[in-house]
Amino acid sequence: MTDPALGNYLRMHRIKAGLSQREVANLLGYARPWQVSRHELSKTAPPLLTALAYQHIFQMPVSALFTGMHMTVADVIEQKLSAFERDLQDRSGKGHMAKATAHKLQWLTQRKSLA
Amino acid sequence: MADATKVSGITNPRRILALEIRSQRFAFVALEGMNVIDFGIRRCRSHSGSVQAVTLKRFVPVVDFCVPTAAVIRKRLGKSSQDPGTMQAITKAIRAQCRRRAIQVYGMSEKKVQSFFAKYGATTKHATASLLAEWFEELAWKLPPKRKPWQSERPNTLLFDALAVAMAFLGAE
Repeated sequence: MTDPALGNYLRMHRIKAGLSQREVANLLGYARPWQVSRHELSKTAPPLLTALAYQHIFQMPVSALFTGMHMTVADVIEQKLSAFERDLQDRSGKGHMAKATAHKLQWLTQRKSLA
Repeated sequence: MADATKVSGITNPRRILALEIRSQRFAFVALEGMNVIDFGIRRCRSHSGSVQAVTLKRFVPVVDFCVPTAAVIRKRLGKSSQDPGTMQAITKAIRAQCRRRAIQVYGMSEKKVQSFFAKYGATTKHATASLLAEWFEELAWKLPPKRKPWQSERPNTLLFDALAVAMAFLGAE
């Protein structure tokens, strides 16, 4: 896929299931369908419990339902982790926290190899 | 998602928006890969204001949602006897909005669409719609019953017309 992902694919999965926004809202426990509409249009991010409910309804992981949001979060976190790693490398081998720093760096290396 | 075994050899690397424009409404189907991400019919009838303004009001939320990089419209040859000019106004408004958003607009001629579906043995509108309903199961429930000669066209036919244009476009690419 060359185009950047949409914020979320809730509407696509809802269409696939043949459900209306009102029906999904009822399943989620919302009184009105506009909350579902706002989630689909990425005007608001659903709370954690609602996101998990979407996962359960559509049998898709949250990261696949909210692809665009997931990628944005992942990019930001990766940047922050890189900055954190650089900061740790500058500190490594110095002071009484050397052991803890080495442990953190080891975890970061393991994390990279798992990704 | 479209059944890959039935739609063999057609790939879609982009997010495309296929449109079928009529004198008072337009239908759209947004495809990402072979997934339908959105579809619908929007009325553009205006009793007092301009048709173009109403079209924009209906079209902008569609583009905002699916953010396509290409739009496909069925090419019309000349002016239709049934169109009092509104179809051209709607097309003009949509084309202008696409240009503003750097969405490439492609035209598909009726002939190309027909020859694409003839390969699959669908020579009538209903046969084409039935074939598309088989390919895209999420739209199967929208398939209208076969029209009798004295009946008018059902609005849902527009959705399948838009999808037919999209598939013919992807098949031709």
